[in-house]
Amino acid sequence: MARTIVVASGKGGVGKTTVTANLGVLLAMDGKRVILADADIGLNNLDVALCIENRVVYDIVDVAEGRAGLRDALVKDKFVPTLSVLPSAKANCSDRVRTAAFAGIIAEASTYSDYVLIDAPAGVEAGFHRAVSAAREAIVVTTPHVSAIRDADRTVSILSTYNISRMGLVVNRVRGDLVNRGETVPPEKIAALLRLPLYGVIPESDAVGVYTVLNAYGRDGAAEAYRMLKEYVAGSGNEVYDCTRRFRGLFGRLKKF
Amino acid sequence: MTRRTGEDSYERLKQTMARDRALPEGFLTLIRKDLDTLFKAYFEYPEDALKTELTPWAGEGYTLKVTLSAPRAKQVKLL
Repeated sequence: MARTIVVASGKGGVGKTTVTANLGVLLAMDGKRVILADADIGLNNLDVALCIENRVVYDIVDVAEGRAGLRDALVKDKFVPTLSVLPSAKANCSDRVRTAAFAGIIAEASTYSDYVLIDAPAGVEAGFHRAVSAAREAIVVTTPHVSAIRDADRTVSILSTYNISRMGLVVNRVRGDLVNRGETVPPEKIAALLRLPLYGVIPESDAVGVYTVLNAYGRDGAAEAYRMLKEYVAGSGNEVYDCTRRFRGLFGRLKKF
Repeated sequence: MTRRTGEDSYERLKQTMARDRALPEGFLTLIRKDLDTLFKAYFEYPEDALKTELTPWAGEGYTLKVTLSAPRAKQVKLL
């Protein structure tokens, strides 16, 4: 059975979809069978993030209502053969996918994959609960902003009422220069506040999109950060990216200009 | 922006999160009622013998102190 991991945040725009996509790509590049499930019905973006929006024939609503099987709806990634995406629906039809139906779809997906990553919608409404109820692990994504951390805290409180055996934190869009100067809350302190293990720190980077790890800027800090996150999640590493490294020393001080 | 911005944000967050985690009114009453039901299965005691004290979130967690002074234990048949 696959590991089913929901990627949630509370606040929108912190990078759930980007983290889900990049983590999924990296796990699949390691040879794992990975299914990315977009649980955001109505404001879905996982298909666009992975450039498969023109190849979507069936979506999760079609599967839930019996018009298509799960395998029919899965879209294989063009670049990474063991990665598939279960797209969500564009229309605002969230009420057509019940929690039990979604859980059943994820359970079926986990029988022929090693990882199922569920991209949860923002907020803590019905869609969020639907996404969380199908998962056994959770990754909470936040940025170093006060409002995002506060929403992440509320999300963690709700997640703890579900059958989630393992939970971890990813702090996204971290400015290492601001951390060095003490002008933002460091990721380690955010993890301590939220009482979660820190799975990953992703630096702010113009190079970040999907396929951060495959693009020409492979040496970019974000690419390395995602690789370290993948190793942490897969259990083959326990280090997080040091976003302050490149801003230390003489050349580090020059880099801020 | 000064060096204190990060520290100020951290302190603000701690206080905001502590307020967010404030327990609703009646929370302790509910706990006490459930504990009373549980303990009455094993002990006989007057109404005011069961005391409960809950320290609200102080950044480290909630602390619940339960004190029961019961003059008599009930006969319990162990199978």
